[in-house]
Amino acid sequence: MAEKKAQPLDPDAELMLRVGAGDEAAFIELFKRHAPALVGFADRFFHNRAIAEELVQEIFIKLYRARRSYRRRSKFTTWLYTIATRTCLNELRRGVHRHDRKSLDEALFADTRQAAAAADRALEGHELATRVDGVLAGLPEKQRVAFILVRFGGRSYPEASQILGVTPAALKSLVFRSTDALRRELYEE
Amino acid sequence: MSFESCEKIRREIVAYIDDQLDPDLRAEVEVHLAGCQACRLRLDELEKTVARVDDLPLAIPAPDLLQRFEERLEHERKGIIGEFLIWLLRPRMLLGASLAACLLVVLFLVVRPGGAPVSDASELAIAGHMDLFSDYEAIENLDVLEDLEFIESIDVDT
Repeated sequence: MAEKKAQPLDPDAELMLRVGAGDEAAFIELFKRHAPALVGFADRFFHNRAIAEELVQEIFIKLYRARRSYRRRSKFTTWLYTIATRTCLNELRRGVHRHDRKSLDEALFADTRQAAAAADRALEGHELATRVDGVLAGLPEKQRVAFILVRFGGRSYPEASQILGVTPAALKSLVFRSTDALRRELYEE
Repeated sequence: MSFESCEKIRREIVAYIDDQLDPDLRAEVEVHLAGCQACRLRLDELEKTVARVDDLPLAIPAPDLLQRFEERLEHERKGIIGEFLIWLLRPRMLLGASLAACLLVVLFLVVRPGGAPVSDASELAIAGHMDLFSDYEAIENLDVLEDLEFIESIDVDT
């Protein structure tokens, strides 16, 4: 008789199952592991670190409330980024936030106060970020979210397709169209 | 190289850059690129585009984010205890509790320890209608019930 294939271990999923069993320290560990990246991810929607931090806390509170119903049907990060994407989109659709680039300035200038060369890089980065945001703002929502998930969220194509609820072929097309739109902005003027 | 084959290959170039193509398609793209200067130029532009975006810094969380979150989590825990009590006082729960109380009263009256069985019909009638004394209206109007419905509506199993 063929042996049953062992399911690959997902350390984060194991932690979340422990949270469901009452292990509060495991939940804090999950926050420490994923909150920084999620702040960067959420910030791409709003360009305001304070809003991104508020949303990340809200996302983890949702995880906490759902801790007993977590069943590890998918990779933990797929579940996490699905909730994160929906939360960010819901907040975006409320339309009350102004994009003010505060977080980008903080990130770019945190290490560049003393070096003029670094300041030039920061300025170039600021200009590039502005152009990237301009292109993304003009894209259909799914293309924009696919781009953010893959480029800034670090999600693989299979995972991003699950998060967005589209086929892998559709996800590939979304990423291509959004990236090519940016290419045209940067190299076809 | 035909226009159609170039268009087909160019749609795969970003996935090729991201190493997200299956081996057969990857090989097909590489064969095409080896013989098509126009597509190699497109590859170059897209690689630079991806590299420049990947170099953009992401927002760095404030140093006190963890502390703020732990405070918020503590508040959430205290809130959950209150919500559990509210859940316990829902009308359905009250009805269930009332019926259970009725049963206990009836059992106590019928099988009173050390005493004669109850024969007073009026006592039994009162015990059988204890639910009529429950006040549902005050519970139904509590705003916190909306929060419970919201919590229950979160679809988190994907």
